[in-house]
Amino acid sequence: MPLQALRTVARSQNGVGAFILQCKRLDFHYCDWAGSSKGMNSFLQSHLPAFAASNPQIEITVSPRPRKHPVIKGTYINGREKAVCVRNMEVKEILAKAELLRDANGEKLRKAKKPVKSANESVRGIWDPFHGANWSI
Amino acid sequence: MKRLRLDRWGAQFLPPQYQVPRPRVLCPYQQASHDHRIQHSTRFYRSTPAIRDTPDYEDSIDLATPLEQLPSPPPKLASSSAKLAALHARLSLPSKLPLHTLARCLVDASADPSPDFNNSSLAILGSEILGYHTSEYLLCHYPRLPMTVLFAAQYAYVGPKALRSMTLEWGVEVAAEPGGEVDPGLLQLKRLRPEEAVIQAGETGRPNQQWAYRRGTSSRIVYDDQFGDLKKDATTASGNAMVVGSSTAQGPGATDEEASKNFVRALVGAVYLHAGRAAAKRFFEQHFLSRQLELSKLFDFKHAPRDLSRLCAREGFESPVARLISETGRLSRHPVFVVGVYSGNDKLGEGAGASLDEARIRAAAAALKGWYLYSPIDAMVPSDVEGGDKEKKKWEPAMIDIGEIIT
Amino acid sequence: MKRLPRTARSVDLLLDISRPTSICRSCRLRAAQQSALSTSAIRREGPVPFTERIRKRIYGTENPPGQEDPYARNSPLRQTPETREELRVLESEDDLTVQKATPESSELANMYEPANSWDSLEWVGGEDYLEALKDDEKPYVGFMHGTKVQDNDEIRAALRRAVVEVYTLHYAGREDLTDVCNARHNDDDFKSLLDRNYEWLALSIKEPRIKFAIVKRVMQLTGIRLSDYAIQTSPTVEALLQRLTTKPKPKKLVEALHADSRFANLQNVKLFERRVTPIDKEKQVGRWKVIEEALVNRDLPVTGHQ
Repeated sequence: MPLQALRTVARSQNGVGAFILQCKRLDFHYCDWAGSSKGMNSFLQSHLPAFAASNPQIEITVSPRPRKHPVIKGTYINGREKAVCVRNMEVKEILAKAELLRDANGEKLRKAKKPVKSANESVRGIWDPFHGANWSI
Repeated sequence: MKRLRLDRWGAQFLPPQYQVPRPRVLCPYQQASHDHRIQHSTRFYRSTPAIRDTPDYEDSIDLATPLEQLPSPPPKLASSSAKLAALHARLSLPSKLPLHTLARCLVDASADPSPDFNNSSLAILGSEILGYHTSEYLLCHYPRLPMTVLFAAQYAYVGPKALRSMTLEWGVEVAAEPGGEVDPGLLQLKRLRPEEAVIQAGETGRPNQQWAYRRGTSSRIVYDDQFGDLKKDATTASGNAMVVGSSTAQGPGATDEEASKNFVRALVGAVYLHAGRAAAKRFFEQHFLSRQLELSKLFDFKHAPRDLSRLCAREGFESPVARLISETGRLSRHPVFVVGVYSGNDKLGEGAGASLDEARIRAAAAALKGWYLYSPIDAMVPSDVEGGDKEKKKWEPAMIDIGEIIT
Repeated sequence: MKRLPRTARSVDLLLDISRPTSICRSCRLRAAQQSALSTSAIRREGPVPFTERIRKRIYGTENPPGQEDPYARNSPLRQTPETREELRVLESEDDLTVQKATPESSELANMYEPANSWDSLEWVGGEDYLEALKDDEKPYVGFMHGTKVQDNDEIRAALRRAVVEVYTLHYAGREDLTDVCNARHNDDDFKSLLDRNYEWLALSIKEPRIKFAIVKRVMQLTGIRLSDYAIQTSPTVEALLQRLTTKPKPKKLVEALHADSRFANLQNVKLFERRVTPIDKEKQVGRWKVIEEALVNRDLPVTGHQ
């Protein structure tokens, strides 16, 4: 039989060509009545337009969630969601949380044990005893 | 020869001026005879988008029809979808590509059979463009790739599975059911039901139809699609080719993979039509070519030493000889043999294995890969010099290989 | 302040001497002090206290001053000369005599018999009753404009019209300037009165009659209710115009966000007026119609429960 081929799918390298921001949606929930939503309400009036303009690739929804604490929910490309309750926070703090959610990917928080994570093999190769200068058969 | 202005021809595929009478393909859900409840539910969902409708979206669409009865959202709603606008920006699409075309790309033919409102025509154009750019890249950069591996590489870059994974990576969600009330930023398709999923062999276009199941590579090059697979017409459940343009027949549904494939292809076609050839190529390079594919992992040799031996004979090299370079643990449970294949004094390839045979075969495979995966430095592709004298690039002829090894 | 008519003063119940009382002397004394008639004479029960006798001797009169409770509402110590004059005038008018009413005797009263069922009784209430009550010959005409005028130019024109009308009457020497409100013709096109001369804005409207008439007229024309504070703190016509044209702060945040022009250009932002419910989410993905049809087919309630 002649040469056959194995089918795979090319792996994406986000950022090598185009960069896809991993945060695809941010939901801002506020309350007209609750005092804990005061900062969020100010944030929505003051800072949200600029934040949305500088991040056009994020779908931003603003909707009331009556009688509940204000919350920001982020939805990511990998399908996971992250929610941050911003009760009793000031405008700057809420902006920081929104930026935190925007900069995250949807992965669970885990400790980075190794300094580098790569799909490419090592450039100089892994040592083996068979190719050294002293080896001779 | 005068250059073909495909973008001018493509103008007919651009969205109509909203005066096209929309064929009322009634959704099954309009059977729900509780009209008042449907109307209540359309009024129930009321959100005012941040962007107001501009006056020229004053509709020619019949307002009396509730949205649920339309097969896909009306084009004017595209400007009010935040999801769609976010998708446009996430993919860094050119601003010449309007939102209503992007919305159209997301409507599969199974959701809306009307060719003016679905992505089928754009998908045909886009599949050709994608196939062209991928194949020119592979052929110019890897001139010695065997045909089967070429098919596999093409599949890996722009095949249905690749396009499906790209759709997921782009954050495009699938709507549960198609309809006019669905968010225009969702991929809309009618899902294939299990009873419709029977694939029968249709007409492949071959003269020896009864042997079509045993088609070889040459036969695939001539009669099959860019991946070496049977064309879609040949695999419909009914056995008849789907007529593009029929607005009455709602054929069987589509799978997520098929709809994603159509969406990505339609998007490329739309970029080409609205923004031009160079923009389409740039889109391809940024999103498709930037993906990593290990071509060496695609090879599946059946008789590596034999193929190598035929290759050396053809090229006039000395016949290959396998020599043991190093070994350890010959009598143990896990021996390691490192074997090199030499043509005279030149080592063609090296391989390590747990047995002498294994090592020898791996060495031959490595040698063949070395041959097949040759890539000329500074290879040019034909589309680099397309489009006249803007870049002033001079065409350097690509290397054309004499062919595969015949065994 | 108008005093309560004598029959309504609860303190008079205490002052009724003919009734046997179990009220202590000090309370009775205080009640007597709060009564109007007690400004001149203290009515007291029992022996006169020693302090009172001393005070009488000091001042040499029967009613020495200083006995009045300064904290009582009706105390004479809280009255200015003007109010005292007013009170005296009112008291002279307020000369009501109390008569006990006799019950009305009629044959009907003897014939009364409570009904056992509602067959022959008059039915009060319900839609027919309301329909019968309606008097279409004289339809109700409200005082103010039906809807609040939103356009600032229209408000300005209405104000100018009010100012012109009131001042016309004022210079004509009319007493009651609020007669301007009687002109109820229906030309809503106030804008034709708008002119480029701005001197009328600087007019001072501190005089209460003129201010009241202007305010009443402009409220009638525009339908905008001004608060008392807004009226009191508007010394000029311009200030009044300012009060009329400033829009109230939006009660809901989403209204303020809609009014913000920055959101109009943002295509990736979606604002919702109400809470996004699970049904809304199902509708966005198109699944709701399937769910609804399935529920209807099974005779189950679409929202809520059985």
